[in-house]
Amino acid sequence: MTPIDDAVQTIKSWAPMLNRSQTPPSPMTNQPRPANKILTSLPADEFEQLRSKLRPVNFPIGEILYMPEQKIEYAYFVNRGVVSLLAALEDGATVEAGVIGPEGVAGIAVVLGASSTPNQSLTQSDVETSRISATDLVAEFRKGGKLRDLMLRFVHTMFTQVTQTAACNRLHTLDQRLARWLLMVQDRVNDRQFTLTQEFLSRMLGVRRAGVSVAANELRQTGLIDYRRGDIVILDRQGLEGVCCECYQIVKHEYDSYLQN
Amino acid sequence: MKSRSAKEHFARAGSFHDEILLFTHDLFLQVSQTTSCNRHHEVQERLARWLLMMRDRVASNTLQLTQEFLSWMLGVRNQAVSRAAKRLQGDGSIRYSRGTLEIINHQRLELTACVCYRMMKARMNNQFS
Repeated sequence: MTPIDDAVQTIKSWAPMLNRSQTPPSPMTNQPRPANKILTSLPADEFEQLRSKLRPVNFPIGEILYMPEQKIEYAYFVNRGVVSLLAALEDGATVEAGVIGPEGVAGIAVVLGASSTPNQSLTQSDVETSRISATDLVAEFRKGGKLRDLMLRFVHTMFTQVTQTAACNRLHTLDQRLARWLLMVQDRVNDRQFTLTQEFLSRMLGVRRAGVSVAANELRQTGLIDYRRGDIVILDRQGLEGVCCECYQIVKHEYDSYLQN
Repeated sequence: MKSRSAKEHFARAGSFHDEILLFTHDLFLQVSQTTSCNRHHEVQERLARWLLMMRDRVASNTLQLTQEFLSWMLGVRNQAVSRAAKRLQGDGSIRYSRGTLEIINHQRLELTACVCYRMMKARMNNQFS
């Protein structure tokens, strides 16, 4: 088996819903503009050109959007929920390299000129998206309007997040990283309660389940979260901000400002 | 190249534009691979990878590097760099004294480096072929 086969096997084993069939979505004409922040930031005429190419497509938690080295057919503007970008190693070990929520789009590799990526993406919550074919997105991107400008800014912002995560994974404690991660997810699902198994957390943070368990317990005992059978409730956001590393604020600042001016 | 001039060339959306975007993609993958590498691999493996990546780029086996610099690059203390470098010296991969590091057996260094080196290199080669 090649490393990629290994990685694919690993991911398949996580996501029983991988091959779930979907009814073909209808175009988004006559519907309100989706909540995605790139889409809402487009001038009306540019959005109208794009509208007929978008389809509303929703995913349950744990669905894989991209497999490593597989041709990228679609990009997804996230309207609600969180998509995780994972970097995998040959032995199947993973860590989350970044998250994408309603501020962004999954599948940016296609506008950069790549047809696939070695990373994997999967949904970390129920996710609502506006889907566009890779071909259409590249064509719109090449027109050079506001869409291109916003997408390039998003690439830069995502780059900042991933770079920060590289440092964070090396230098910060598990407690800090877990707190940061919970805050980042909460910002995107916009709900103080979400579902996460320990196994999932251990893959995201790149540590053993026992480690996740200890760290989550600490946060629970100090009253910052409640955590029961995969359901996390954030009880004290400010307290979590006190525990997490500075990476949270650094990345948040980039995200808060990237669509402005 | 001045950033303004780079922007103007980029805006013409010709081959410069396409190359820059592909490079961005490649760099993005390098960084995302590093998130995983930093989490899962030992200092010695990471040091070997880092030295090989430098060697590929400067096209030389001799690198001027202080331990302090290496400790910043790898995000570990001086002592950890020192231990890792000693091991690489011990198995004959490198020679290192007073800020000059010489790669004397890069095949051996490749055996020590984590898989990330090979993954990143393969990608880089794909991109420009």
